[in-house]
Amino acid sequence: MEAVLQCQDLKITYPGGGTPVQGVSFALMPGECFALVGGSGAGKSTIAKALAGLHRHETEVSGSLLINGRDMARAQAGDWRAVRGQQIGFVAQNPWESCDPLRPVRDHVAEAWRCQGLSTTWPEIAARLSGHGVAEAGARMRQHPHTWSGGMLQRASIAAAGALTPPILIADEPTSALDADRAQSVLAALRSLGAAVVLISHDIGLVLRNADRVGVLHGGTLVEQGTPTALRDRAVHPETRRLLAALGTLPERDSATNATPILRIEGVSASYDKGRVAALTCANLAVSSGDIIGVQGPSGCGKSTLLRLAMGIERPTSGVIWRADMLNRPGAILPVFQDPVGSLVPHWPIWRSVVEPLTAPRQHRLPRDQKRKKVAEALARVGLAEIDPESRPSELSIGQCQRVALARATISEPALIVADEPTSALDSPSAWLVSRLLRDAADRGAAVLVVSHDSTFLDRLVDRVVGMEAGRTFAPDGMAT
Amino acid sequence: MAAVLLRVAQALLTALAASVIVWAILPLAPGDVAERVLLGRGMQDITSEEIEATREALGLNAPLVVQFVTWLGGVFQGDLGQSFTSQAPVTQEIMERLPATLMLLGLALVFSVAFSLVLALIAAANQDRWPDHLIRLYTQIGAALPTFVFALLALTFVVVGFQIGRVLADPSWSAALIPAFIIGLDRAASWTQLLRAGLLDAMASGYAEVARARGASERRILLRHALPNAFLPFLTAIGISVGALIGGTPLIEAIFTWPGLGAYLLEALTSRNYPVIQGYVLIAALSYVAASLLVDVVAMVLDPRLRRQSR
Amino acid sequence: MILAALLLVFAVLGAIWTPHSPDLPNYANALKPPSLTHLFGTDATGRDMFSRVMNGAQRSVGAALLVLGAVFLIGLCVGILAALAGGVTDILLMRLVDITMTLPPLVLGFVVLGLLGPGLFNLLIAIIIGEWAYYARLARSLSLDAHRRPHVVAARMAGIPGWRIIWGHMLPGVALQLGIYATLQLGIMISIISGFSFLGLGVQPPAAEWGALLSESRLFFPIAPWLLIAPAFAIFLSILSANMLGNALRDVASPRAAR
Repeated sequence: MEAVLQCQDLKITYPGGGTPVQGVSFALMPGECFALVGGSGAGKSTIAKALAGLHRHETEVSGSLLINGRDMARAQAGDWRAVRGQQIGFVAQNPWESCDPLRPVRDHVAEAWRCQGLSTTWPEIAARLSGHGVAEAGARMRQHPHTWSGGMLQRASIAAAGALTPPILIADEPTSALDADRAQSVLAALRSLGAAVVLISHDIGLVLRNADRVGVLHGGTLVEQGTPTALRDRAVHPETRRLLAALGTLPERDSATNATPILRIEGVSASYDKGRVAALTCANLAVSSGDIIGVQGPSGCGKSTLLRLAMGIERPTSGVIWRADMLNRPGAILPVFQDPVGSLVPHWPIWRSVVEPLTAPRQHRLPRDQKRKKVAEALARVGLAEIDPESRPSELSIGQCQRVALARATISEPALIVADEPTSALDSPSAWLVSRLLRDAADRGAAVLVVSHDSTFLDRLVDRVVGMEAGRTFAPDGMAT
Repeated sequence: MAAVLLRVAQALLTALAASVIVWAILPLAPGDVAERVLLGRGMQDITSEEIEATREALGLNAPLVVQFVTWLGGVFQGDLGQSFTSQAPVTQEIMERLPATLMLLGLALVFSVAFSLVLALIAAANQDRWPDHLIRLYTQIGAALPTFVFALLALTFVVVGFQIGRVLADPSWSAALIPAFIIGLDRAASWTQLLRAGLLDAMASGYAEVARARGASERRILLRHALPNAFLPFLTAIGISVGALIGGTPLIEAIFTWPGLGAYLLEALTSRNYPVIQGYVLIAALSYVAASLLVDVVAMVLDPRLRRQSR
Repeated sequence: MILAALLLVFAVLGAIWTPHSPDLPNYANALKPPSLTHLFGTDATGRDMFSRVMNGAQRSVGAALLVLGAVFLIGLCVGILAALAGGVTDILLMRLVDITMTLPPLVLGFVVLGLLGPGLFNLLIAIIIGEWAYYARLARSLSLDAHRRPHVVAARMAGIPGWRIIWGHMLPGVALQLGIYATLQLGIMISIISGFSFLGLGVQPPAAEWGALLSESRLFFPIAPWLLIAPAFAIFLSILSANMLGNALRDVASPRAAR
């Protein structure tokens, strides 16, 4: 059998002289799914773009890139146009950004034919969409992309990518904008086209579950490749091990659920816009010291509102929120956010952000060298002992910023740490680290309340999960609390 | 539809607020209005009894709210009062001059939209090649030359220098052509800059990349996806610029000696002819409100996302 | 950047020293074409044009900077106050902003000038009244935005007092963004001031100002075209450098928006 796509010593050079990708060789057999996995900055997206000829024309691609036996490494724009759509389909990361916001979804799909000068009919498109699991496709496809859910819209993009049944599909992080449970079914839709798939992802768990073969990218080179089982059991390269470590569990711990709660939320509802939009209808929650509680649910179910109520920066419209006295002093509840870079003051050196909770008026006044020592300890605890405390947030990676934010959230030993999607901007090794650091904080006595849509992360970290749907909380067994 | 109605209601409120400002010019004006009215009628040696009688006749002794309501009622019937200097109704004088101004501004608007559309499309289609560089040079120079300076230079050196057209113009379409062309050429510079940036942003967006990955030609992406998406912010900017264009009429008409509203305002400013100033400001404010309303409604028609309940 | 600095030096120097007296007429020397002693020639009353352009710089550029400084400060204070106070204060201030913004800014300027009468000082007041609302609205939305930033929420949760959050977390960012906007507006401000002066509503003769110079020179165009070129070129150069400065600042502050 002959490979549909073959890279030999692929090297990509930017006009400025940087080489984000070099010495990459792999072959893609018909119908198989080959995954490229790596941390941020490994060169994944650069390769994905180059495979479809989408790099900027100043960027130089050398080595050989055989698509159905034809070398496209130095192909011109015109040659690429003949290949795209017919030979190669492309699915991008964010389904909303992939659609022209001014046109209905059916136009988005129909463009796959029309831009090739071919014609299609609306029933044909409706049939394709239904085939990928879009309900009521005929009516829904007249709506605009912003009214669709991410999972459904990504299916429409997949239908469009497979419109002309190309033998190759390039999928660049096709599920990273989706909730975890939707990701699996979208990947299934992708595989159902029967084409060979190059799957680009940062999520090694997802890749090991779905790909036939996996290549690990690190620093722009392919450091290791093999079947999922081979990689899982016999990984050689340290980068592969680092990525796999993110799948590891945390040590077992005794959860202290029988302690008296420090925070109780009972029958609470909350709404926005002067009562017009109900965010929460009935929420119940009890948190004790040392507890790690996860909150999980689809987007828009009221998770974030619940967190803001727990933090006390929003008030409930009805119901009771009871806090133990220890939570009522300022600084007793400290937050961790989704956006690590925005969590730090952009124009401050990181030590100033870290030390800030210690400088609040009712804290003990510490002498300067004491503060400095505390900052150094806090940074060491999150594994950033090597980082210069004078550096600005923009000089750090996103994962490092989140660790700085965790150092700030733990420096004054708060009674409750509230984390809102703390890992959604991070790659899996960083996410693993965040779960370990939150666990450490709980072991030192803080209660941790964490909202996340990442079930791997929650499974590893929390003592119990509170599910949410449409403004209501549910106990793990599905009973309304 | 509800969003459109809401926007219309907003526009009506804005117009009402603007009319308050316009009306407030008279009570805020320094000096005694009644005295100015009498002076305007050519009376000498005015006694305080005469002033008091005029105040009473003009309704200036009534409470401010009553004065405002009376004034607004007059406005609805097309009565803006009498000019202090000519004693003619202001409405009549404005109506004589309005067509000339509309002609010039309308034509200038058409020119500048046409220029910026064409130039921005050419620039975006040839990004970082010589047509793009040339157009960017033009936009830089145009943005650095105020319209009146450019108009003055173009008029004196090109039009008069080469004897194309006449400087002293009477308001007709053919006479408006050259001034409108000059204004359009200058205005188009900043609009081209804006539209070009919008087009390039759209060409680098996710949907453009996806279209490219399906084999769509650059031309198709530019015209089918980038242009409609970049057009919306461009339209909003035009709506705002119409305000600047209206505000700039006195300058422009002074340079082209164009007998329109702007020139009328200048006369009124030097002679402190408040009813005329009020009339001009009212027209300017209403056309500004109408222009932004039009732009917003067109944007709502084009962009389904704006049709959802705003705010 | 260098061009802008040179221009500033030129304006400051013009206020203190000029090669010839900018205001003293010398009728024997009227309407001379450019020469080594009179780089831009002389005007109808024999005044050195180069000196007048130099002397006018402080009124054109200086006044623009003054106005921008004023609207920047007013906008910053009103905007932050409205954003943080919320409630009735916010509503009242924002209605005032809305009412001010119902008129195109230049038209409002004409109204104020109509009430106060012409003159440089009155012109500056008129432009400030016409412009402050735009800055206040921008400052308000920037402050609201900053107030929702995670690092501000974190500081609030840590019990940091409000004034320290405003001073340390919010003000630098808001002031920077507003300052960039103001710099981008510098060119427009120069053109507005010279435009009003061209109409005789701003700087009064015999004081020199670029727009006023253009208006004076216009009458003598057929015999002395050089008189028109000099102030027009000065206006062009100053706006060009102001635009370039503004763009450079914006690109430095937000590299992502650079193009």
